[in-house]
Amino acid sequence: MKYSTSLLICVLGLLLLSCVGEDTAGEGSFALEVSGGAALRDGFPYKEGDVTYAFVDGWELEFDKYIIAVGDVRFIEQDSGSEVEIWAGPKVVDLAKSAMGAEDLTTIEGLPARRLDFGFSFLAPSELPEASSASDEDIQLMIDNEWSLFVAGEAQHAATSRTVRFEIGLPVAASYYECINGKDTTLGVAIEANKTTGAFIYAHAIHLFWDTLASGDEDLRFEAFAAVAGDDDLVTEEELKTQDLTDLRDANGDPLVDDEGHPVVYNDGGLLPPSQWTLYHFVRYAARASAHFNGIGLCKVKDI
Amino acid sequence: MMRISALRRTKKLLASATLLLAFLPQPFSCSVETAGKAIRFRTAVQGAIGDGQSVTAFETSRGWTVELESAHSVFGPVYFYGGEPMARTGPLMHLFGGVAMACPTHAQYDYGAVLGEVIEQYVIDLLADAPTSTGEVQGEAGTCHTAELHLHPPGDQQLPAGSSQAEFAKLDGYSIVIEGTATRDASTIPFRVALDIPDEGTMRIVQNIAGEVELDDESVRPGRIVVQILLDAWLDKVDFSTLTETDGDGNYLFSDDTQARTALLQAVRNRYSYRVDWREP
Repeated sequence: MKYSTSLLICVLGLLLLSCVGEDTAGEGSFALEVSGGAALRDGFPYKEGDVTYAFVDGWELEFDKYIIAVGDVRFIEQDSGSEVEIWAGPKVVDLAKSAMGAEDLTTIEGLPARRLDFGFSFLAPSELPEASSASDEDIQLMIDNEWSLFVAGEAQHAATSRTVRFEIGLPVAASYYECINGKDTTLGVAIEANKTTGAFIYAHAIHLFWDTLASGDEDLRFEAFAAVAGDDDLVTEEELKTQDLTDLRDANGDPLVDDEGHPVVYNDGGLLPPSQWTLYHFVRYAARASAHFNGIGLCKVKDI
Repeated sequence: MMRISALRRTKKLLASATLLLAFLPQPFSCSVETAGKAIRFRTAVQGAIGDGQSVTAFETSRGWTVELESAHSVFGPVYFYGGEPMARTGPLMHLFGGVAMACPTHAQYDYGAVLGEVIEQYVIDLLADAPTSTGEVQGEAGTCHTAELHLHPPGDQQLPAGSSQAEFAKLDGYSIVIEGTATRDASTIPFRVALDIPDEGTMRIVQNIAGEVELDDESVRPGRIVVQILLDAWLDKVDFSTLTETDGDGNYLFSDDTQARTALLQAVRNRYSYRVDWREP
C-alpha cells in the first residue's frame, strides 16, 4: 500500500512538472540593440567572413544616414500566446552615425526566466523624441511622410566615376513576430535567470539592393537606381516610382542591360500586384522584411 | 493471496502509467488536438479574364485590344493550403513544419495544412468554354486560403487523361503557347508566344494565390474547386509595339530580351494572375 502511494505521488508530481515547471524559474533582464552590421560601417562592397558583398554593375556605395524607427518590442508566452511584456517605444536611431553601426534600443527587466516568443515593429515616428542619434530635421521628415526608414548616402561607379546621391524614405511599418533566434535557430529567446540576456535586431541594409524578392540567384544592383537620378544626380523615392519593372531603362532611356547585353530583371517573386511593378514598390517590399533577429534569424512579417 | 495479487496489479498499472506519462511529449500532457476530416473533392482549371468569363477578347492597360486564337499552358502540380498556422508543438516543429522562411524575403507565409494536391501535370486549352477537370483528389476538410501552382515545362513524359495528345503537341516543349492579334490605333500585330520559364530559384512556382473556398467531401458539397488563369492579366503590361522578330507566317515573336517577354513572364508568375473559386455542378 505504501509503495502504491509513493508511485501515485510520483505520477502527480510528473503531471505538475509538465505543466508548470518553468514558472518557478525566476526572473532575468533583456538588453536589445539594433545593428546595421558591416554594410553600414563600410558601405558596398563590404566583407563578412570570407564573402564580399558587392554590386555586380560596378557601383560602390556609402551610407551617411540609415535612420530607422523601432518599437513595439514584445515578449509572448509560447504556450498560451499571452503577452508577457511590451516596450512601446519607438526609438529612432541613425545606424550610420554609429562607429560600430549599432545602437542600444532598450533594456527590459523583470522578465520571467523561460523561453518566450519575441517580436518587434518598424514604426513611423509620430513625435520628435527627447534624444536620438538622428537629426530633428530628418525625424520630422519621417513624421511628415509616415516613413519608418530613411536612408541616404552616395554611390559612385568604379569605371565611369559617375556619382549620384540617394535620399530615400520608405513607409515600411511592419510587425515582425514569432522570430527565430539566429543565435541557435530556435523560436524566440531564452530569458536566463538572474542575468541580462543580450540580443540584437539586425537591420539588413543589403535587402535594399537585391534584385529579387524570392530566394536564390540574387545579385546586388544599383544601376536601376542611378538611371532615374535625373539632372540633379539625386535619387529619391519619387524617382524610383518612374522605373517600371517590366521596362527598366538606363540613364539614356535605353533598355537596361547587364554586362552581357541581356535585360536586367528584378524578380518580384510574383508578390507585387501589377499596379506596384515599379522599383519603388520593389524596394519598399524588400525593406519591409529586411530585419532579422540575432544575426540572420528570420521572423514572420505582416503590415501594420 | 487475493490482497497480494491486487496490490501487484495496482503496482503494475501505476508503473505503466508513470512510464507512459514520462515519455509522452509535453504538449500532449496539457492539450488535445484534433485532425481534419478526410475527404475527396474534385478539381479543375480554366482560362478566364478578370470577370471570370472564358476568353474572347479584352483590352489591356497599355491600350491594346487583344484577340486570342489559341492558348495552351502546362498546369500542375497544384497545392491547396489551409493557410492557418500549423498547430504549435514547440520550437523544432516550427523550424521543420509549415513555417517556410528564407532570405531575402521568400515565402513568409504560414501555408497551413495541405488540404489537397493535384500531383499530375496537365496541358490546358485556356480558351475552353468550360473548366478542364484535373481529377478528384483525396484531402482534408477545411477552408482553402491559398493555392500554389507549379508551371514546369512539359518534357516528354506521358500526360494524364484530360490532356489530349493534340494539345500536348501544340506546346512544342514550351510551358505556354499563345497565338492572337493585338490592335492599337492603326497598328495590328499578329503574335505568337512560346514561353519557357527560366529554371531559376522559384521562378516556375506561383505561390500564395488567394482563395476562400470551403472544401468538404463531394457527397456533402458537390462541385469543384477551380483555378482560374487570368489571360488578360498575363498580357496586361505587354507593349506589343516592342516586338520586331517574326516567324515564317508573319507572326511577331516574344523573343528573349524584349519588353513583351519580360512583362509576360512577370505576369505569368504573379499570384494576382490567378484566382481560386468554387463552382457548383
